[in-house]
Amino acid sequence: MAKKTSKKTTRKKTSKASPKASRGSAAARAAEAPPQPGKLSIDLKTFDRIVGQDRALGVLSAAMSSGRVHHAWVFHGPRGVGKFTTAAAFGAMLIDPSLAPDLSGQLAPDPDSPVRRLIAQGAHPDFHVVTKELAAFSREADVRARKQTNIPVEVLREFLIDPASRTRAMAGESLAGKVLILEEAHLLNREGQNVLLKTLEEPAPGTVIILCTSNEERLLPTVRSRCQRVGFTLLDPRSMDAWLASSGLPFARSGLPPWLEAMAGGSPGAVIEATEAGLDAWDSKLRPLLEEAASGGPAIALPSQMAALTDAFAKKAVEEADNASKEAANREAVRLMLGYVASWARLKLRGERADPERWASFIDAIAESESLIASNVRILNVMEFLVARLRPEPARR
Amino acid sequence: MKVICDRAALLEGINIESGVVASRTPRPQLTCIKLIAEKTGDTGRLTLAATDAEMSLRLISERVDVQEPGEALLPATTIRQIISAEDAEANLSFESEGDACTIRGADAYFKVLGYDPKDFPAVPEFAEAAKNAKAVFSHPASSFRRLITKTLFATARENSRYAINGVLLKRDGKRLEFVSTDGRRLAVARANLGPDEKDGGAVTCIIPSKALSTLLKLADDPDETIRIAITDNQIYFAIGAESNDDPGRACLASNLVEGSFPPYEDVIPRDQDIIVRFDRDVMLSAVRRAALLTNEESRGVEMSFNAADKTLELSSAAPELGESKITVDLLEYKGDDISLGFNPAFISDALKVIEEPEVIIELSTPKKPGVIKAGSDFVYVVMPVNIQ
Repeated sequence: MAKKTSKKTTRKKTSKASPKASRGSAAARAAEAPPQPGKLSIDLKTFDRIVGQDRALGVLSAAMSSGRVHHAWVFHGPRGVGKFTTAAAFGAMLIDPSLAPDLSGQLAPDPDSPVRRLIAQGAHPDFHVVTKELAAFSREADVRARKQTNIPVEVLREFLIDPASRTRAMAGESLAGKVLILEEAHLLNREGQNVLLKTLEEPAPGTVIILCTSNEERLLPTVRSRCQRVGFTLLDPRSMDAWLASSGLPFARSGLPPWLEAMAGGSPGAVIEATEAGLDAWDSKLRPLLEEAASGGPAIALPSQMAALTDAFAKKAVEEADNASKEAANREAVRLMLGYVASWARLKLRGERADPERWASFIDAIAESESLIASNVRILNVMEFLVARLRPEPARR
Repeated sequence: MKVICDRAALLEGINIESGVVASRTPRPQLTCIKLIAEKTGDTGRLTLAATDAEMSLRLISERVDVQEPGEALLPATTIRQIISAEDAEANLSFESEGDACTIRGADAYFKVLGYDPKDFPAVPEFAEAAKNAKAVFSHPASSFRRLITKTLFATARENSRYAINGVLLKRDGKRLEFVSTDGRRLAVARANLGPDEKDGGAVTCIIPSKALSTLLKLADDPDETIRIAITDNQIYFAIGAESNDDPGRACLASNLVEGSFPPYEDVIPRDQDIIVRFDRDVMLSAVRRAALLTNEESRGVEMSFNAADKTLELSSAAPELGESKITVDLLEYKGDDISLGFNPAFISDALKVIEEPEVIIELSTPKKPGVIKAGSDFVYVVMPVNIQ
């Protein structure tokens, strides 16, 4: 059974040849975390296959060439632009004894090295990836049973701080002995971040810790100041095209549909997320209704349709994973829904004969909806509010 | 790979390995046992290997018929259940087909899906480790067991000072010393090295508690010898090995704890004024009884020593629970009267592992630590608690 699960997951992973292959929306990732082993396989890339992050890669390459790699890093930037992919690639190079300059003088690993093989299979004992889903594997029963909304301190201790306090398992001369990558570091609460400080400040020699976060403001200043920060940016259109061509996604040739392009806004991860979440079905259902509402039509079904699609998405995510939190999945689904509506509105704004003020004010309404959701207003009510703001001026009075 | 194994012997090995296999892990390969079949001349050898990324264990058995050398990586739980359930069979045959493996008995056929053996982190061999080791030496299993039991209980469990979450091993030319502490107590156990054990240099390292408790289970034959190799990152125990090239019957390897152990020599008080000698069993029983009426709030048991009568009165009181008084006759008492509080578990933990029937406790003032000594090879320092 375990074998079967693993095969399935591996296949799924490799089919997503993307800079953010092992990431998706939180809900989608939660769906990838059955409490059975077999989800840790990593689509390990080399630096030359990571698109559009030349500045970040430059910083990391320089650190490796100097031979003195800082022990704590924060990779920050928007969602879905390759932070984790880069962290995995960087970490894999650090602990690989086969790393050596290639013909062009760049440090490169031996692609067939056993270390890379073990990392890709998730079996390397000195390469640790810590995510909130590891709660399902905690030795504490109550942590296992908890809804996975943040990274519990127990998970941090068990999967990051404990391994950091042990010597490396594999021998060999490499830039670092062990690498620990914390995904979605902003999901650590204040206590967790404080617990991490000591390890971040002074880990054992040869330990490298990489925190990935799309929300750097949530990290305490004390955490940030102990780390070397590397910024990741949204991909420019050219890099986006280059990524798309190599992604193997259905629209690799035809180019992204306009709504998806607007929604992704330079984040390959967002494209994958939208594809996996089946947002093209949302588009075909919602767009006619949105157009109708925008031109003053009744569109009575629109708010309930939006709420229903959101709910279906969240339910599916919760069903697919044990302990996935419905609340977190709802938030994720609403984020996607508002993201979709915003991308549609942005296209409207750019359209001919557009009334910029009207669409700008509607985009403001989307932002307002986000804060309404954050203060726990029912999803249906928020959608109704949004649709009301969508109507042309006279109808609103 | 094709091997025919004695079922009972194999089951025993698989059971031990299952204790090492990571029970909860997102890494599927670490829930597996690797079977390595080798053949040199006419003798076949089957090695079972498992790891949880921190510790790894190889068990070697020659009670097998290797028909075709090879490897297989199979889920521990599944094969354990199969081998255990096939209890009518004397022998089982294992034959690998790609990543899968078939297990056959007289009337049964199982095909177990496994993983590519190359995806399993290499479990190091002793001979290889010994080449790069800082120190290699042998020590009798019986003495090793004594050192472990006398220190393992005092290691820190949940502590952010990771260096004390293990036992310090310190070896110089003549002695082997194990030290553990959790910040409020400290246990030191020593053993002399035999005349032929003195090769190799001085070495210190911190061994994780888990490796030592596994070693206790493995080294159950007191007449055996354990060969130890310590490298920069790992410690290896080859059980039943005579030389570096002899793999023995089992080899346990573990990562070490990073960091430096606190300077413990300064913590052990010297020249204490009050010296008390008492019977171990009498005291253990008294401490246990007094501990019955303590709780989180009352914390400790008060120990009042009376020099004139050579007695000790243990008293405990817990709000809403009650109180107790137990009197113990002492064998010998030197010094003034003293009254101080101790955590009863800290005292009984030490008395439980002491083998000598008579034990000495040395005290100075109610705020200063007490020292429990038994024989010449065990010292235990314990901080008093404030009773009021």
